[in-house]
Amino acid sequence: MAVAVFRRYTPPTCTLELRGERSPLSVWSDRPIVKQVQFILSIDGPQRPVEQRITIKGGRTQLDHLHTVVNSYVQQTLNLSASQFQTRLLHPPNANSRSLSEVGEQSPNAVNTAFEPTPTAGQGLAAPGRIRDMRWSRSRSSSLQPSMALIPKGLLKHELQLGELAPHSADASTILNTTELFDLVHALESYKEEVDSIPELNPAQDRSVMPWMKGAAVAVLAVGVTATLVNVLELTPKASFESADSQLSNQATEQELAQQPTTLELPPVASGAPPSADSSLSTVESEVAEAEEGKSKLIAEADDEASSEVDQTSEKASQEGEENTGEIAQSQLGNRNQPNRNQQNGQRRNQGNSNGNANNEVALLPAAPGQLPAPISGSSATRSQASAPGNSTLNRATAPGSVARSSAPSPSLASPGASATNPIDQSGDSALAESRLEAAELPSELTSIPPIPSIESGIDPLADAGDIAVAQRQASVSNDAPQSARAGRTTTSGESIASPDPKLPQIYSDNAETQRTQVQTYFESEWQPPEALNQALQFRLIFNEDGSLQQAIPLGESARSYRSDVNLPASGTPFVSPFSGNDTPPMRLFLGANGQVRVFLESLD
Amino acid sequence: MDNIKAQLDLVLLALESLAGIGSEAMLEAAADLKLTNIVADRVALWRLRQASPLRKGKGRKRLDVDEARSLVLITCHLANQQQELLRRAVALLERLTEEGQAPHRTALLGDYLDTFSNTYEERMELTDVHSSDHLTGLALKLLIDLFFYSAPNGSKRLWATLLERSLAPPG
Repeated sequence: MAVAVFRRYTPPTCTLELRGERSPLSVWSDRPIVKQVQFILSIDGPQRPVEQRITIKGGRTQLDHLHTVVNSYVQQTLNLSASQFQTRLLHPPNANSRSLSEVGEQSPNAVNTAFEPTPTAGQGLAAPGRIRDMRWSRSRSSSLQPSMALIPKGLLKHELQLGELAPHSADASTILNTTELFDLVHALESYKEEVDSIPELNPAQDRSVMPWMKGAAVAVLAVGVTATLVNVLELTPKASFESADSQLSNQATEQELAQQPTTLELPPVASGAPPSADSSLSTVESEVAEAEEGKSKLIAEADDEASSEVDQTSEKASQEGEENTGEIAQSQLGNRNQPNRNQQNGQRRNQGNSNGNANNEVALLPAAPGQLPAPISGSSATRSQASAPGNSTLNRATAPGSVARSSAPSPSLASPGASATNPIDQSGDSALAESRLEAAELPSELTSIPPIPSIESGIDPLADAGDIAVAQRQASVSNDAPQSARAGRTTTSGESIASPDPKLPQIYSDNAETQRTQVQTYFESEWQPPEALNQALQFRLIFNEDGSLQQAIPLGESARSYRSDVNLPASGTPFVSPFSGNDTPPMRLFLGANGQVRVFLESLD
Repeated sequence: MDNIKAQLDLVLLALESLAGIGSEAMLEAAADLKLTNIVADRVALWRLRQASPLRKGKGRKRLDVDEARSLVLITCHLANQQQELLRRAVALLERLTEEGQAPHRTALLGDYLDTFSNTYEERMELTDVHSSDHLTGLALKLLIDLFFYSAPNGSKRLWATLLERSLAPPG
């Protein structure tokens, strides 16, 4: 390509002309790439006397040197000014130093000496010692060439020593005033920004450059390899976890599952793929293993079911079959939280259990929701879907308020599910649905150890649930403890409130369920809401190990105001049966303005 | 960060004095640069500038990086707008210096120096250091600095200068 003038910068006091060959590489760059750059710099501002106008020429290397020199000089000048500010303003001026304070005097003489350019370097406004001591920018050119430099001559004058760029005339340096310096800097900066230039092949240059480049290339290679390895390594552990889990899920013993601590890490990792379903299942399984014992057979069954495909479509919801409903629910939630899936898996396990004993649902539930931040709407949607087969009562809207209603029929389902010898499918359905409901609602209810306003919002929907809950309670009384606990939990689940707390407290063993039911029974008989009350009251009940009430803490203004209206048992008097184990969980007591009573177990966390 | 705050405030003060830039212009610059979340209104701007330890009231507020950056960008943006004026002022100063005349002689520089001194005395904590001579020198130095900050990459320079200050030991 022909040599062409491709850039000309013409600030007022100088002209920078650039020539070079435009490289074909410019096509792929947003800036022109030029090789064999030649420049012509003319310092020829109108204020400069003609005889002092100079023109310098050079190649790319010299241009870069000039740019570096000028740039760093300007920066240093600015920094220097700042230091002087610092010196002058923050510390008393030293009378002996030629600081600006002295120079700033208004007498013309002082001004003259201050601002007048002096031939000798270093004198000027700034403290001479300081300037001399500072390493002014010098180009790092090879030793073959004299170096370029800029030396200040006071604040406003700057001597540019041209070094190798000196024209053949005697002038090896020129004095620039600040304006010219500014323009020069500006022109050079513009060139740097706008144009990429290809380094020329220069033997001397290559020698100095090559080792550096080799080192850089090696470093880049190492970084790339490392990054690749990291990526590969990240993938392989996941794969290994998932394969391990799928193997485990096929095993029958929960102990083996419990021994897989890695599975617990999987829910955050896996998402939405069948392998991840396995992993989540394994996670839930391990939780279940920790929660209860001796149910390995049921878990094995649940595993088999759960390990079937996850990605069922909603069409299958219309089909009967425990597996389908469970899976649908699972898949529906599968796109939501991992924990939801866990919940579903927990349900499915319950479903498996229901083949034998529906009681296990309850027992399994504590484990499953342990991780659940389950949004109620998600659960509701699931519920409505899953309830399609033959459980019309389960069909509910997806509104949060519907949770209460949807929970209501669950007891009715539970009862037939528990007692009837329905085909496995149906009982599985109901058990599954119910357990799903319970598990879904449990987290919401537990997390929404809610502030009073949310309780108020939930009170109305609770009204219907309350009646059914009573019925269920009665029904459950005839069952053994786990069942009653489940029923109790279902009723309490009917109180699920709109805003689930993201952090779900851990549910512990069934031991506290008995006591909770007792508390609930007690208050149901005792609670007489005063006429003036229009809000629910919340209390935290702290128990002693022997079952007596240690403390009843009112939560909220209403509770404090109406505390006397609540027949709280005296501290220390026998209240509920003693707690087995070491857990004396606090309980949350809700007393509705309409006479409803709800009791929840609080976490000890 | 003490010196940075002081420096930022002084640079803006110099710009104000020379070009008569008020807070409206500064806020407008903030809007142009999309910095209104940091410099939302006059009060916010005042607070940022009030952070300078040289001010009366000793500048209580700490300046965080985003705030400092915003001030830098606003300052350089405004300086860039005033580049012609700055160039003229500096050229004038150079000429006067060469001729050995006092800068006050000219209207442009004289007004600038007077405004700078008055505003400085109004806002800053006055100590013995701040005689009018000091202020004149300070004003002129700031003028030159502003000239360089008005370049397209001026904000880079200002930022580098500020950092350099904070690293350099006092004195």
